Amino acid sequence: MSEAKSFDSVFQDILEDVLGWGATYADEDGPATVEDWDSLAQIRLVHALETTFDVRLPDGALLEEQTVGSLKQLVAECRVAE
Amino acid sequence: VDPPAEIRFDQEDVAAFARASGDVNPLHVDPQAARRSPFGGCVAHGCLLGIGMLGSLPDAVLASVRSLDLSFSSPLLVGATARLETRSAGDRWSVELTGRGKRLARLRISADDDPHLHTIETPAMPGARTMRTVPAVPDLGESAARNSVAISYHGTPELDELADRLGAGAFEPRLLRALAWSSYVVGMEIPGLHSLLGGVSLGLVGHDPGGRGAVLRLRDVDERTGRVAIDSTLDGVAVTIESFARDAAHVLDVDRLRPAEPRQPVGEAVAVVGASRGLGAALALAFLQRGYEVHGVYSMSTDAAHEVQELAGDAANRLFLHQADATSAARLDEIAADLRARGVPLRGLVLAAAAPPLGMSLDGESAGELAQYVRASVQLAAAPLGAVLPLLDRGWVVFCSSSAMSAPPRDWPHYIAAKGALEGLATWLAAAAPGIASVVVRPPKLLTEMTNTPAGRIGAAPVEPFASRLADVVVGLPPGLTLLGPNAEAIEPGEPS
Repeated sequence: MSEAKSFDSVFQDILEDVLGWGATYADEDGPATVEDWDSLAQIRLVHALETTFDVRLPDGALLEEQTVGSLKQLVAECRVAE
Repeated sequence: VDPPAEIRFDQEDVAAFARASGDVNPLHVDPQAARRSPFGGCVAHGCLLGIGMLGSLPDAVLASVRSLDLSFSSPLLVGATARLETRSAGDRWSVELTGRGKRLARLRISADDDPHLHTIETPAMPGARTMRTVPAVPDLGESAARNSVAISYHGTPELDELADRLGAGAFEPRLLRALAWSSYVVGMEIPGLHSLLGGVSLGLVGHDPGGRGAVLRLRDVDERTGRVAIDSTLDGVAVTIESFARDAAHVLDVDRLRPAEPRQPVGEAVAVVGASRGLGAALALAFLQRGYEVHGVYSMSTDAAHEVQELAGDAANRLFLHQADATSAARLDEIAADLRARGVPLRGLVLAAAAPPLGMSLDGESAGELAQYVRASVQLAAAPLGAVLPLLDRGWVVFCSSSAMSAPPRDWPHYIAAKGALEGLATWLAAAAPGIASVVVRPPKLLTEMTNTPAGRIGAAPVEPFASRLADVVVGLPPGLTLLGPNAEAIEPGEPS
């Protein structure tokens, strides 16, 4: 991950990569607002976040419905904990 | 944006790609095995879809491609129609494949190199082994080799012919071969037999060294989802593959289906529709363990039915398996006549047959597919209920619904509508046959072949404890309508007596 890029900007790149180009994703976005955010997309998001930020997210990140904001929070908590 | 075009692959297209790529995984080419999968039928190879998607691009664009990224969200069944939509923004092109109102796959191409692709040193050919003709049984444990494996991969001219026919003749042959190779890797090597292709990224990284063969290496396995990442190099093309290993079909643990106290034969019969798989198979074995004569009805999964027969052990002489298509009234009447002729009173009927739901999104066009799914699902319950009802003067009927009814998944409008119809049938039965316990069960997500997908298996509970509890509870329910929740507990009207 480039040091020059902010957390939010890296997050945005991952969302675009998994969910599609050209959209800006807000914190409240999730399966209810993003058509391509299905269960498989969520697996890919979690995996891409874990790889990029070098963290292991809790199983709830895979099991429960998430939003951009809740995923950001989970990543932030894991980075602090590690 | 070009107008959407339609695309469809029949079994012969899939067979041609299987021959051309060497990916003869049964999910694509064996209708009997594919029917047991969570998709309910043969699935077109993802990389075949990719070639079809490439075919929607102009030749000049195709000829300039140096890297591409292909990712899959949901499968396309053989014979089903999907729409292609091409978009371009500057020098970036993408193609989306949509079916059942939902995006199934997305292709992105670029005339630039992809800096993220990993290149593996290609060893000299002598160490290379030949291609598999039978898929490997997945082994992703500690013993799975993380070292590079070289394989002498050869395509066939049929691949070029197929690409030509699909309009992708101008596509770089090395990239085309790498697509076919990716399909072969996932379907035949890693994970092999029980696998799904998630996505492929590939790009030219140098000149074709010529005759060096292909090399692949397992990079990463995520045991939570079965996600497997693989790096590979072939003919100067770097390949990164995302795949998912599925579990082998779960074999029921009969010990966990036994009642607390051993039972003697009770001289009564239970009929189970959908007895070869999942909850239906578990309930057939659970009632057998509780002393009932069990008549299991299954449609096509002959191998699975034989497994149930074997699991019955000492009680196998009280298990009668009948193959029947739910649309064949004559065959169902024949089974009902058999039951009557045996003279053992029928005390219960389990309606557990279900059509596997493939994710969909509801729009004007996909509404027809939703209606078809609901019709097929209702038929699977209504036909056997209609045939067997005259034999039930008291006792119970179990309608297998789902806990998804109280938290409907976004991509399953057809499933929820079908289970709603099933529960409606139960409500009708309670009114029309007041002497019978009409029981709707809403099990939690269970580990069965239907949930054996990357996302489906997460949080799924073993089927045996639920089936065992249900078999104990249902026989004590009073006539009328009862709704049983995720622990087989009554959550509406009837209390267990």
